Amino acid sequence: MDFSQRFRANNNIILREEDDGAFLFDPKTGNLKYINRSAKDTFLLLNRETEVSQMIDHLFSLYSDVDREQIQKDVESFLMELVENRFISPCEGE
Amino acid sequence: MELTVKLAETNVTISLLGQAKKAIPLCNLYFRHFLHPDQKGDAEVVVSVLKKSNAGFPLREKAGSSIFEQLLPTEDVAAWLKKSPGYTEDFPISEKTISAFCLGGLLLFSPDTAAGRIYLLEEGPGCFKPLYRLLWMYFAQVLGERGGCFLHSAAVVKDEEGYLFMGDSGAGKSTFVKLCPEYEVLSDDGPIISRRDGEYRVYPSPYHQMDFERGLDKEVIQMSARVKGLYFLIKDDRVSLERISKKEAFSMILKRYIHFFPYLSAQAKSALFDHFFEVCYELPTYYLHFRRDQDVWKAIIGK
Repeated sequence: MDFSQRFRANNNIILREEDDGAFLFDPKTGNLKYINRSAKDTFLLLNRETEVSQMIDHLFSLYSDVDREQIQKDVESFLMELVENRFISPCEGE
Repeated sequence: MELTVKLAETNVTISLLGQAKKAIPLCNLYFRHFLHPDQKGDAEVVVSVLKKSNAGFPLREKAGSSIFEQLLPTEDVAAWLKKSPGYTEDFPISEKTISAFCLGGLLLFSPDTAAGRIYLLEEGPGCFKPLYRLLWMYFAQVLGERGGCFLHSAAVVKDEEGYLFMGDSGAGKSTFVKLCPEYEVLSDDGPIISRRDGEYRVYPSPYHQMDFERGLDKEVIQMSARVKGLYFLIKDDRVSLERISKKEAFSMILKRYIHFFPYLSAQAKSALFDHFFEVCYELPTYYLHFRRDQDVWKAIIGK
């Protein structure tokens, strides 16, 4: 997957925030996923159409005790999972 | 030929056409406690028999296994229907129409109007086999549009309050209700949950595993109760209650315990998402470990 492109949440995806994370729900497919706090932070950045590298920078500033490479790995794997489950899509041609 | 069925606060009319009229005695049997004198309900489903004689029925076959039920691409279903001998375009199909196959039948559902169309695709005496389940699927869609659903659970009313005991097939729901002889059982497999006047209520439904001949008592048919708590059943060698997080309860309900959830419209799924989120955060949620020879109510009421 090309992580130099931006990603955004698909239409109608519902994010229900909790203290320690959030539920993601796609009413079209019925897919439901619980994401933890750092994943929620990542998802919220997606909604602002932030580039992946900027997201990693931002998360590193929030979780500076975690290795930056680890954050990058986690973000990329999280994005791949969200794409596979059709919660998000790459912003093609933009 | 028509009959109207009352489900929670919703009346649904079933109209049987042509050969399908032969299913009237079956429908009268299935829904005998739920028949309503009104000629027209809030929603209507029309049932007829259609020859599945032309090829290209849009079912995604799986090698080595027969398909029990499946959501179908409506566009492909519409194209297939147009080629079917005897098909009349009496049901408007749009991109919003939901199409589903079950056993040997086809259900079309329009979320905007709550209208349904069932085609029984096999001719002969066996053609009515899928009707019971197809009607269930249709009722689930009608209720879904109103924010209600059938829940994989047993519903027991004690002191005018409803207790829901959730479980997959084989989890022990029918066994469990036998432990409650002094209380009213609304269903041991698919009671209806609906929001009314700001509270969540449970209603009886014609869908249950209980002795079909015996059916439900007349008093039970008229009953509904405010939901008091949700209990996820676990067969065990002792009785105990174990707290379950709201998140876990909510995830399990949405993923496993709403009958026909994948077949509902996006609007219905959204409404149920909101409702069960609220339910799980307002009501107590537990795992209930139970065994058939021990009193479970002491543990439930003790909490």
